[in-house]
Amino acid sequence: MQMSSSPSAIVVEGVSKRYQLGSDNRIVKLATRWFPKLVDPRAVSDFWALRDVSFRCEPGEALGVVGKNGAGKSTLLKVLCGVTTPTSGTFSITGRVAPLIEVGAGFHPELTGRENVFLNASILGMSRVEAASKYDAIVDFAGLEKFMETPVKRYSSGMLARLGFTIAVHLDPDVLLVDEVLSVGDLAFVLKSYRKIEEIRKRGIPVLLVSHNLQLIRNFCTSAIWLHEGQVRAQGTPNDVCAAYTRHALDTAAGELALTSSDSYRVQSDPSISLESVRFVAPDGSERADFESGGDMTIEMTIAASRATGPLLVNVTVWQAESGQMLLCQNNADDGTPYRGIEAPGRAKALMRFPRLPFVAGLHQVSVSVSEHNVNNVCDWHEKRFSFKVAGGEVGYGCFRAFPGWEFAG
Amino acid sequence: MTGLVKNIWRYRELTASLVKREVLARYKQSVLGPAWAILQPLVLMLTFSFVASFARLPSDGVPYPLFSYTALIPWTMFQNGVMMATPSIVLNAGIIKKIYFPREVLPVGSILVSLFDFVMSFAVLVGLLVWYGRAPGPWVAILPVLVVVQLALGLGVGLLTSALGTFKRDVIFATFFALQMWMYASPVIYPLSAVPARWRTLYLLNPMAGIVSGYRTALLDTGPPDLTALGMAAGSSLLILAGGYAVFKALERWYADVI
Repeated sequence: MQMSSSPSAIVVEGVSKRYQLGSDNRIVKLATRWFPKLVDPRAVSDFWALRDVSFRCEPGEALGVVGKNGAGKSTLLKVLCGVTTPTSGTFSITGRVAPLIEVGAGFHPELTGRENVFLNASILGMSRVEAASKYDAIVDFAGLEKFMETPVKRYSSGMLARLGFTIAVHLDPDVLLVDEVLSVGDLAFVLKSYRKIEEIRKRGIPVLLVSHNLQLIRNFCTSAIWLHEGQVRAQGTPNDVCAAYTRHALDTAAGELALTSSDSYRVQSDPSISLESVRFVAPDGSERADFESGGDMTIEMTIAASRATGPLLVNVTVWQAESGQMLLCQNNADDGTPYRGIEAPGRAKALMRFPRLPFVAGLHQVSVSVSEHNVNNVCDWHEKRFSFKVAGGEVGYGCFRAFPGWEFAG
Repeated sequence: MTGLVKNIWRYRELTASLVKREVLARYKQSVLGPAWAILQPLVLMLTFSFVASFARLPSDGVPYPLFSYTALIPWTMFQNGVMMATPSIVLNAGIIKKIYFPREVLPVGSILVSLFDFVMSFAVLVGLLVWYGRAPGPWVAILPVLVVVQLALGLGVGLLTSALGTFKRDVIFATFFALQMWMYASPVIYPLSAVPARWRTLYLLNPMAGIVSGYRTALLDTGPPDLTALGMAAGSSLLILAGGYAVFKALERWYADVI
């Protein structure tokens, strides 16, 4: 296999990819073609995974690709690494492509870690001699010395991801395609991996990074594109593209989807105490869904009890929806405001006020739980069932804002 | 065709890894291990010899066990090679959907695995030759040619069936069935000389006819080789390889989308 020559750009021009959806039945397909009026047009339909996509990724550039699930990001990577052929359009990539399409692609479960290093290297076009010369570096980087003689079917998914990533970046690729692989490993490995990708990029290799983690795209990429339903919706600096994408995601069903995501649930362990409602209200008492960063917001919770209760604790957790990061998790007792509980069957209101909202632009999910006596005795738990949006406050890269006092001396 | 050779050479490390992986995986969890390669033609030979003992199958004056085993070695290799190559694309869907490499590496690997079995089963042949006190004559020199022609044929058929089988699984089942009939259409359990003269030309269109009888010429010293039969076998094998490869490459771009 030839060694890398001078690296060149990834150039994609008008690439489209069509898949046929619907019936796999030949008779239905023929019938649709011959008697289109007789057959339900939905029986066979075309699906454009990519439509007229064009962009360039220059040597030494890291291009971030954002977009919701099904927007065509993975199809784009498959086209670029040659797994599938575009229906129309052209693209050019020269040299050895290191694809990180999925964790452990090309691993054989029965073979050991060592055997798989060589197998995977050969699938990616590396010679045995070359792989042998890099073997120690690979084992060392992956940190799997003790497991190299173990069949990979006994590896954890994190170990597989580490090994797969390590082999790919040690290939001396001419083009690096990264697809969310790094979301698995532990933090130390993820950081090490990004340093490695950064190092490869600085050698003048074009890097394409697909990720749902916008923070990562902002920090790591030099430019970005946003794919929406197979088309390039925005192109430019990572900050602009991510901002456009976030705005869109918040404004549409995609934003709402996050609210009803699968990690939202309710567990009511004590039916006699329940959290009836949670509202986000502005200072004028009106319920709102949008707030300004730094503005005034109160979380108003209504608790109902069908008996006299002991002391109640209300615990509120706020998550940044896009990154899944927990921003705060605290309860009234820890905050120095114990509540003696509801004394007769009926309702009570709990208000948690943020005079200066410490969050930055984005969708925020909220979990609320009500416990009796102590925080572990949860009666009603609503996990990520509520949400509010914040606009403004795009200061730096943080996802949380403090309102410190500044002073300068000297 | 030069593309085939070029791709396989460029990806020789991968081809070698796949063959090794296949051979290791096949024998890692079996008791008899490599003995299976020998057992298959051996048991078939015993069965056919038993049938021949009362059915009076002709064998050109060669002891029947030796006669049939000499043909069963190349036949088993051909059949196993095609049978492994046919589902090779479908079975490797996991890699095909994720990484690009020339897909012909997979059927080529299957054919090479069958070559491994072939070499193993030669050990028994040596034993049989010693037992019956026979030795190959000077025509053993054509053996390498026969092996090459046979590999080309197996690969040609394997490329075609693996490509088509990727789209319609029926092809995979049909191939297994067709191979069984193919054996009876080849001079494995009877000699080429038993074929009526008026059907001979038609019969020789089957490349396995020339190949199988060629093995008898090379290994049993039964006289000079039948050059018409060999020429026809070589010609049709190369045609099948060229055709199979053309179909395989034409359909290659769809594999990742349909499996």
